[in-house]
Amino acid sequence: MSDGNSERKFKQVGSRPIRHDGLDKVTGRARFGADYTLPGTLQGVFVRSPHAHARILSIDTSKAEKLPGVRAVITADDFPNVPMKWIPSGPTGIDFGASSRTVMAREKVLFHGHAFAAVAAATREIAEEAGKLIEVEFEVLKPVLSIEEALAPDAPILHEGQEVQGAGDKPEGDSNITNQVLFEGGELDAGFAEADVVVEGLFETPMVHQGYIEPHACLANAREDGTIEVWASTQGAFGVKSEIASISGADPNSIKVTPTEIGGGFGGKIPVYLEPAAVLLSRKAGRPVKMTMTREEVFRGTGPTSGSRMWARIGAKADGTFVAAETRLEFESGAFRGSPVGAACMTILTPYEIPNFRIFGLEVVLNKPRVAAYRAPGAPIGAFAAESLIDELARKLNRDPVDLRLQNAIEEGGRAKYGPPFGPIGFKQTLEAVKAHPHYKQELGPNQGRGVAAGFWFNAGMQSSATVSVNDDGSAIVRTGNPDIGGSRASMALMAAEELGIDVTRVRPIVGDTDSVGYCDATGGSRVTYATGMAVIEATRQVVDHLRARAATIWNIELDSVEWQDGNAVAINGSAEKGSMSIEEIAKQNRMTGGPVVASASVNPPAAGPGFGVHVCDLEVDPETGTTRVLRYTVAQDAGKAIHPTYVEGQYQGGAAQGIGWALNEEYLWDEEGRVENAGFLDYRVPVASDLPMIDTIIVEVANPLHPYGVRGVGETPIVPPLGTVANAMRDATGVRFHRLPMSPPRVLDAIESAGDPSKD
Amino acid sequence: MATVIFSTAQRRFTNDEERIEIEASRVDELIRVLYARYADLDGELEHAAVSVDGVLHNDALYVPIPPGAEIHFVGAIGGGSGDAVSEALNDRTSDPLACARAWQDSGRTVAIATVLETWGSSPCPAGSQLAIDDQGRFEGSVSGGCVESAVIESAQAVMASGVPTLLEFGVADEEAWAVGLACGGRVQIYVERVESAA
Repeated sequence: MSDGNSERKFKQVGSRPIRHDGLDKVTGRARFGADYTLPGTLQGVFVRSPHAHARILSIDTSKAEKLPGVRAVITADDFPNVPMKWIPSGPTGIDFGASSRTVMAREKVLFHGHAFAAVAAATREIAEEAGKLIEVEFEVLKPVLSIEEALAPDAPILHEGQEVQGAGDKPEGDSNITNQVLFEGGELDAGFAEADVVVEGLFETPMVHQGYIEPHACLANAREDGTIEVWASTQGAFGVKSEIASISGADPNSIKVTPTEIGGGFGGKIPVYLEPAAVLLSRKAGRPVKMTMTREEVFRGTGPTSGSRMWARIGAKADGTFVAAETRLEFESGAFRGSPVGAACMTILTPYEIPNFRIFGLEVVLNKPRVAAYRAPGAPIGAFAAESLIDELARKLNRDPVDLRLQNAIEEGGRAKYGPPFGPIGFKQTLEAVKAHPHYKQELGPNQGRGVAAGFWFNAGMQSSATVSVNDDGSAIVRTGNPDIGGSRASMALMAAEELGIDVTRVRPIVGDTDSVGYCDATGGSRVTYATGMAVIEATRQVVDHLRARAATIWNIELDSVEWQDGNAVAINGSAEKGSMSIEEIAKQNRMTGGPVVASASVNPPAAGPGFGVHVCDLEVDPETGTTRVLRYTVAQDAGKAIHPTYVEGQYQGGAAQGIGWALNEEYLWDEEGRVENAGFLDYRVPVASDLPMIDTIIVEVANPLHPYGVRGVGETPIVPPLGTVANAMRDATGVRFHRLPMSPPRVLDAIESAGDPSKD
Repeated sequence: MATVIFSTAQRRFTNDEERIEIEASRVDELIRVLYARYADLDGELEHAAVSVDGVLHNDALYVPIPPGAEIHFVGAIGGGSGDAVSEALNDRTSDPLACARAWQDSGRTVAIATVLETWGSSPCPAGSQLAIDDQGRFEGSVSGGCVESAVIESAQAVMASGVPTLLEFGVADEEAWAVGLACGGRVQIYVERVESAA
């Protein structure tokens, strides 16, 4: 696939044009999920559980239905009863029964805020009022609210009869464990016997939310002819189509999903929450139904990522060589199975050569919201434990933390802990780049500390389609099915412009609906610039071949005698006297030479090849209040090839910002009944611009041989290192090793005071 | 010859063998050979991601294996719940009768619902079929989802009693808003238990 990209001189790729959707976004004209409406649209709302765990004995909606203005009320009875079953599929699997029960509780409500009914009415107020008139008989059950409670022998069981997936010795009888993962290599005991230094720790991270700015929103119109139109804020319109079909029992061929502009997703807008219910409400009411979540609903009802409990130990020789490591990762999966514990196990030790290891992970279900994907799912959590321990090793061995990582860093040919060897990767180059950066040499003041940590993420491939057409003025349209979250439209346009040899402003990138583009898997897994970009390049190359053929027709010469150079057909060989013809001139004659020039391509490439990142953080802790201020932060990461460097940097900065929030402030707070106590941005503290310094970035480029330009994914890796980076900086600033996130001011203050007072240790 | 390296979890099925050499030119061929050699492995590998010389393929069945390649079967690299994928969608559109046969062969009780007649606007034409099993699984469609839940429920009774039943749905029914055809059509559906041929 590679065309020797290291020598290739790019003209468009690598430039920083203004994004095509930028003007609409900054002027408020862009239409997001909640901006769509149709004549006669009703407002739909969910009615949500006041209990974290209860059996639904009966639901009486008759009073609600009689309220004037109410047009439809639905419960699980209106949905097909899709059985809970794990279907292995694609890179992961899916359980449509669990998805159905996430949208609408069936036998039980499994977390506080779990929807058990939905109402469509003339106004949101009427719908909410009707919700209060729904009479439910609950048998309240004891909630399971922590990993410890979930694993207790007498724990209440969330799903009776659900089998444990995966590896290792499995529990007998019903259990809240739903998945186990095991990777082993070498001889663990012999490995640790070789170690001169062993560090060990028990780590905890809380459940945290993706925190996308735009709440979930959709508009559904179940039409009289049986067709269904849906507008949704989603990372993947084709996924929404598939889930509507499976959950609401509609014929997939009757469904058209149009992805709206999307205000962030980070994995949390891959699953559906609203759409199947909105479709059934619309069908029942005979009117379009719009559903939008409040921020509180987003926190209570949509995908956070797992809270965790992790034990790990790593052994090294006196010269710094890592010899053995062992981990046990326990992840919360929320109300249904499907946590990222597997990915955490696959990533946790993979950046380093460690010949002897045992990595065990398990997930439990408990009465909290069902987890969804969150940017490099699982990897930041595992890296927090591993990178904290490696920092401790560096301290014990009196080694520079970057040097120690360099000494043990995985290289091309080295094996991931899940087995396969790596192709060309840029981990060492990234570590070297950090070492050479001025940030790493800057002096620190009192109460200040510096931390370093690394991270790894796979980067997906998966299915993508693109269609490229040339307009009669020689401009071009690129159509794909991937919602643009991180600036992908600009990247698609740049790649098409590169192949066509025209300026990127002459290319118009479009995100199409499920009826008008070929299938595209979701915008996720850091895959769009790589996989969809590959489809765009492929389709554009076909277009270029068509244009060459058109020029050959006009000149009446052989196709072989026409080359494509910088947006021009150039006659060569014996026909050089014909000179050249621009894309504008060729397109003007499209009508004469065979009609419009259009080409499509679809791909399902292998995983993109991994991205490694290394972060450096300087922070200052106020010893009187425990407040932490991040002074300076630098992200270095291997991008393979940066198509649009500004958006690559934006991904680096965004990942770092989210990770800093996770490290310092973010956590769900629960009361003893399992109610979320901080379901809003006032009490669930994500970093805002004034909390953070400008985040420096270093783009390392070690070409990925699987992509024609060398692209790797970049979107997820940047959130993997920050938890460890900030914790290591905190250790440097305070002398205290923090094993539990977030390192919020009260915890920091408490830790500093305990450290200063030996009696409290 | 390709070398296959098994993970700890896979070794449960391979008599604890960690690596073997196998002659195969494609992943599907390799899987067939592995299943023939390790009966317990059957069904574990089709959906795995496959690494061929370090390149990780998600949908790997027809990926060629170069001579001397190193192969790993890698478990799901899941991002958590909800990664909707095309394959599951395809499952839903498969043939209900074939599905009914497969279910019956695996020892389950199965019912078939068939659209006999339709009036006005109704999503599925006469002859459309839905297969249902005793565990509530279903395949196919008789109404594009409007009345499926009621048909499936009724099929449970039919499977238990063996007595077929004729269902009618339409806007005239009182049930219309609960399970009816909001689009205004009417549909007649025959639900019968599938009797074993033996």
